[in-house]
Amino acid sequence: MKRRALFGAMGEGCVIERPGPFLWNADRIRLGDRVRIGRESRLQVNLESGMGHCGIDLGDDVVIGAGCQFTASLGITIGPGTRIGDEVLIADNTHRYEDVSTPIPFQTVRPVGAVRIGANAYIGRGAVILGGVTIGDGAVIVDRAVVHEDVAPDEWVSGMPTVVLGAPVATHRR
Amino acid sequence: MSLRPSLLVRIRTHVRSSVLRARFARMGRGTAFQGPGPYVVGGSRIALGNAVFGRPFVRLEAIPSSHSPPRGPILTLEDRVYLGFHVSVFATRGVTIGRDVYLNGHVTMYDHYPPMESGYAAPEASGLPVERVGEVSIGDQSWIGWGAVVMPGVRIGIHSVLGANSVALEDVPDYCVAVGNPAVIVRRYDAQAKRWVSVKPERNGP
Repeated sequence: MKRRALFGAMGEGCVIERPGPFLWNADRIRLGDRVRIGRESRLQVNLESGMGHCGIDLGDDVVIGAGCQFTASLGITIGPGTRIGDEVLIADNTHRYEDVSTPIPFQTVRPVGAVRIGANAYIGRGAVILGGVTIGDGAVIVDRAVVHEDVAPDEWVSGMPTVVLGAPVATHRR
Repeated sequence: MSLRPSLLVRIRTHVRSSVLRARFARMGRGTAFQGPGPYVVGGSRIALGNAVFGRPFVRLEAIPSSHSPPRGPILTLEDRVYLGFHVSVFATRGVTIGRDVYLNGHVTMYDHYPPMESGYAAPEASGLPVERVGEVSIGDQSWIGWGAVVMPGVRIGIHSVLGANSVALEDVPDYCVAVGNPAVIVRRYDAQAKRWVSVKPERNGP
């Protein structure tokens, strides 16, 4: 299948919905088994930053919703079983804006830090994960939260900037 | 590997932009949209400058209503505007996006609230204006983050940044960084000292 050749690695039973995904440097994107990528998503690896190893690694059974964008200059790693909602942005870089004599779109992209998301986490619709963030196993990011700090395992966070809602009681744990 | 799209994609984009030109009141040189999309409503009231670039699934709607100017474009995109994935712009009165503006994916802006002729009205106890209509303008060189919303009547200044998922309810001056829902200014460029300084937010976050 053509799709298999497109990615750097692709496990068994993956489902890639159309239209999309829109890929840049897809040979740096590795998919595990049974990964599902929703329609209209965009997976992009920038090689301009000159970092040696960088790419997007999706573990087994990762589910990504529609209209997501993952932008990697340093690396995005998502653990097995993590589910990601629609319209989620995961960007390990940001735009420079400090030079007032140059329009912001013409300033370069600044890599911030690799993003690591653990296993069985849940990321709600419209959330934004910024650079350098590590999200622990089983953490829950509530819809439309903007995460700029690390999230401990099994923790729930929401809001902008994020507020920790605490860990769920034992009965709620998966 | 180059970030530039392949030759086939570039040819297809060129053909598509030739077809699109007929749908807008004005469409400058080098303006192109990637498909699928853009979804255009009321293209005769939309003016696009030179070298505007749109990613797939862009939505541009210009729907004149009773408070619209009688003629002329009510949705104007100046030169070199970048529209990310799923950007939606709805105009009934006047939306102007300046030169070199960068709109990230899922940005939404509209100049009327609630939706026209929908019959919705905010409850009095909510403190929200029952109706809110006003021209929206984005200053030159500004950068609007992923999923941000610019509310009716809001003006974003020159070279300003609106953070991801922010909701701009009030004007953002020139050379500022605003984040949050509602958006508050967190950084500002000090022209005398020639550096960016942090600003203590007047309101706390959530």
